[in-house]
Amino acid sequence: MTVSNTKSMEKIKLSINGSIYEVTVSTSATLLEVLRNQFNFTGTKEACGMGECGACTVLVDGKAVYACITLAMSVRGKEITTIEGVADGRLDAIQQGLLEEGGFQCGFCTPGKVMAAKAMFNEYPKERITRELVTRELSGHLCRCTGYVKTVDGIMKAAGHEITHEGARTVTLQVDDFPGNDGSKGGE
Amino acid sequence: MRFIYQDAFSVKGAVQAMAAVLQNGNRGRYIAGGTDLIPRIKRSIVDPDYVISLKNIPGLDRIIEDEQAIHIGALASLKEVASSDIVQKYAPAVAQAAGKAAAPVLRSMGTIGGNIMQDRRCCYYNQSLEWHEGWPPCYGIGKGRVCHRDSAKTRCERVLMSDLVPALILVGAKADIAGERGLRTVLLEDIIDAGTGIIALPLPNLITAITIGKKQASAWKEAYARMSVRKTIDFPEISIALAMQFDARSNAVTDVEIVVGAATPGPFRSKEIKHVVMHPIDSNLGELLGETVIQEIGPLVVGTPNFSQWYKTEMIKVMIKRLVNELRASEGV
Repeated sequence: MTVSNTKSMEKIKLSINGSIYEVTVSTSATLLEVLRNQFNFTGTKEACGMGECGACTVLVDGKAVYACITLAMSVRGKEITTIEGVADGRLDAIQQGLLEEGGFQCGFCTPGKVMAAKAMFNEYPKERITRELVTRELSGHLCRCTGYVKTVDGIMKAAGHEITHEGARTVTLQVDDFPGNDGSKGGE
Repeated sequence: MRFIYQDAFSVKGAVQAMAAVLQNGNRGRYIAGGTDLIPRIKRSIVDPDYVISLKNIPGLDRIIEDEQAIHIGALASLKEVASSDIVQKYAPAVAQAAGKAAAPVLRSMGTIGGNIMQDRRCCYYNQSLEWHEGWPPCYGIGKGRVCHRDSAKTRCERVLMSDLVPALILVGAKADIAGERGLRTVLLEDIIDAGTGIIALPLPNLITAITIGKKQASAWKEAYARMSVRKTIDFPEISIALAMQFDARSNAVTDVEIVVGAATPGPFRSKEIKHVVMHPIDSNLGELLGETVIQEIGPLVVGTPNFSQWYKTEMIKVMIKRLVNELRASEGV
């Protein structure tokens, strides 16, 4: 027998965040559909669904993959890590870095970025992580809010670099700067 | 998206399983990384009944070398190809192309075999079912009679946007193909139609490995460059693979090869540039090579909504000039 099955539904074992689950899936289901709909691991987001935006990134055996274009059948026997498996009682260094540096706004792309950063930390020692590397490794992750700079700051902070905010401009606005606040009518 | 998933555990098993699927009148597809196939299935552009996974075939992801050649298994990921010492040493343009394709995560998912066999693309073709229902069907979709990109066209001019194909053609790569009658080896250039970009490899045939002959590394200098809207994620609008042989004593070019990809429907190998051989290596060389290529490529260049035909043609010249100058700078000539 050269092929394993001819059924459209299959009972498979998946190892997610350290626990082994047995689940019946459609053989054409993506990993993302199984994670979100069957396990309720809704931290992993679906945005484009076409492998372009990176929001659905999870780790499979420590490497980042886009769950929206990975078939659940193809990850049997592999260790899957989702965003729910990252924090262990307290936030992971990457999550803490993003939090402290304001590395996210609406947060929809954040789980994907955290997982991609985790994969990068698995691959490179912390001392080799530079801004260029972070920018390159996270280049497949679209964010419509932050403008990326603060996300890179947060990940650099997690890698142990000091973030100086050099070049950042501080503008102090007085209450009087806003029309209407000094008693006059704005726009006149 | 409804199909039956099957695992294959050997190349022979995969070919037999696919042959059986086709014999029974079903539609089948091979899957490796899935980065090209799954989006196409989701968009209902292809609708297979069976998907046969090659991922569990052992040994098909190895990159090895022998005395005459390097062998890249079809399942080697683009990331592995890009970072392989062997590929970097003997086929730097291929390593560069693999390192510039898609995005980092896609590079670690996608395979070299899949990158070659990816479908040709057009912004009016790679769209959802709902989107297609809102337009008259084009040549690319079934029995369509119109081209939305250019109404003057009388056939589908989707573009083969593989980063690897121009670089592999440049280095004269051969493909090992497994079929129902066993293994055979063909020159990759011979199975890719230069006019349309269609790869003549009907199912159940399957690429199992890419073989690149070792050139005299000291004599040939090669490089790869691409232009796209964003550096990452986006497909190339132009890709250039260029190889040159210098003769330091006479300070002249002794041989040159240029393959342009993604700008024309199929990969375009320039023949006219052979006339530039024995030209002295100076600042005019890049301009001359670029001018020669765009004279030859002429109206074949396909414009897109992002970049017009005129702009892309001009950019081919500019990119060749820059590549030649980079090679000159790195060689100190």
